Amino acid sequence: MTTATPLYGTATDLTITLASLASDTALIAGRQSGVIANTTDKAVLIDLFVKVTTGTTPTAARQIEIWLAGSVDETLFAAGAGTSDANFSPTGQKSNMKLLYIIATDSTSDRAYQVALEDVPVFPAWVIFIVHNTGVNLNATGGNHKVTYRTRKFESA
Amino acid sequence: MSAQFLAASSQYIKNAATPVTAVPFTVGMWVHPTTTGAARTFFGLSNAAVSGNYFHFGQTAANTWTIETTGGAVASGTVTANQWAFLVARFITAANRRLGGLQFDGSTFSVQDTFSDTPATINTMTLGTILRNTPLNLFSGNIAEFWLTNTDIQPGGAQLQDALLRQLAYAGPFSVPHIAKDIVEYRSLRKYPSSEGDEEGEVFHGALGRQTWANVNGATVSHHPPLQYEYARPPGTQKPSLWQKLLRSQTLSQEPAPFVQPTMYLTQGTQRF
Repeated sequence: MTTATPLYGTATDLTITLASLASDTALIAGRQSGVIANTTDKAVLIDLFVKVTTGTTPTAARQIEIWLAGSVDETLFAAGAGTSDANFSPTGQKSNMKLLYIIATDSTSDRAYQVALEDVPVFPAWVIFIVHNTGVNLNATGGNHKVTYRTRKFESA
Repeated sequence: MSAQFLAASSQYIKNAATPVTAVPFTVGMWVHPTTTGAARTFFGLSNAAVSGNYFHFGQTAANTWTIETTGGAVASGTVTANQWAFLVARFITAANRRLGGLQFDGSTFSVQDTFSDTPATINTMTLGTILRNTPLNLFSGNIAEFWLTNTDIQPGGAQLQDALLRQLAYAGPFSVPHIAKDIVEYRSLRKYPSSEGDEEGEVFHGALGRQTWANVNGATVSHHPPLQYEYARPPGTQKPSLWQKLLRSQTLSQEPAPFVQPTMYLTQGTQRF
């Protein structure tokens, strides 16, 4: 009897600088990651892990948003995202990206919010966009933030 | 897409044979007001021929969210123009009505009205207005992901749990089994405001049967709220995941053709795709 099983790639960190990322009440000005070209990995699916740490005395009842901007030709990306780890503001077209998750935050200082997402949509190339309105800059230590992806393929025997 | 209403054109949609006529019932929806400073209704349940006898929730002239019946009204939170908010209105008993919501910036609000009131001879459900002999509080803006149960969704009539509110907003009512089983109607409002465009996956009708909504004065469709990629669609309409498609194709490709000895497939080894 044929059995299909997942075949996992290597867990790989995205390049995205979230340390001290400024808060934006409009939830527009955030940070995008460097590009991941799936034409090499050829993943069928990806699983994503995101860790974001808030700063000192954030405002209660705010949120951190995680979006994915895809590209078909590896040049033009949804919402006008670029290909490098950089500040990015998808003004007027944030909803043209895919919403992956919204993390509800509280007023606790330096809380590390961690979320694991499965079966994230895959494009030939893609970047992650993160934005928040917690009222203060995110934690200033780079190691307190992390975005990791792992490809998934399938094998049968 | 979402249903878009323009108050100046008196646009709304109407179900003149409402399946729900009394408490308890719960309504959830995403709303996107484009104007502030005036009282507007998002959802109305009323006797359309008289000025009294109604339930509704919407926004106030003071830019707060409100839940009301014929005799009582309470308000809370902040309405921000041109931003999406998710609201859950619970009409629990004659003396318990609650409105809770997730506002665009991640903050939540909750308000309760304990005024005892029993609107009667209810016959009409509306989105975008309250019909009280005439359309009142016409709404300008967008409504999406409308759903209705004929129950209260929070045990004991208590304040809606924050985690449940967020789950309903971003993953949908079908992601919560104890709510999904009681859904009387769901309308995504993504493609059509009213029933002439009903299609599987965009509408769902429970045990009370198919509902018919009429479009009054040409409500249109416009942008939809951003929903999480795992937003749960009505049962039986969720698109198969890529994993499921691959399994299916692999199963079909491995099915032995008639009269072919199955040992042929034992020599194919490991396939990767």
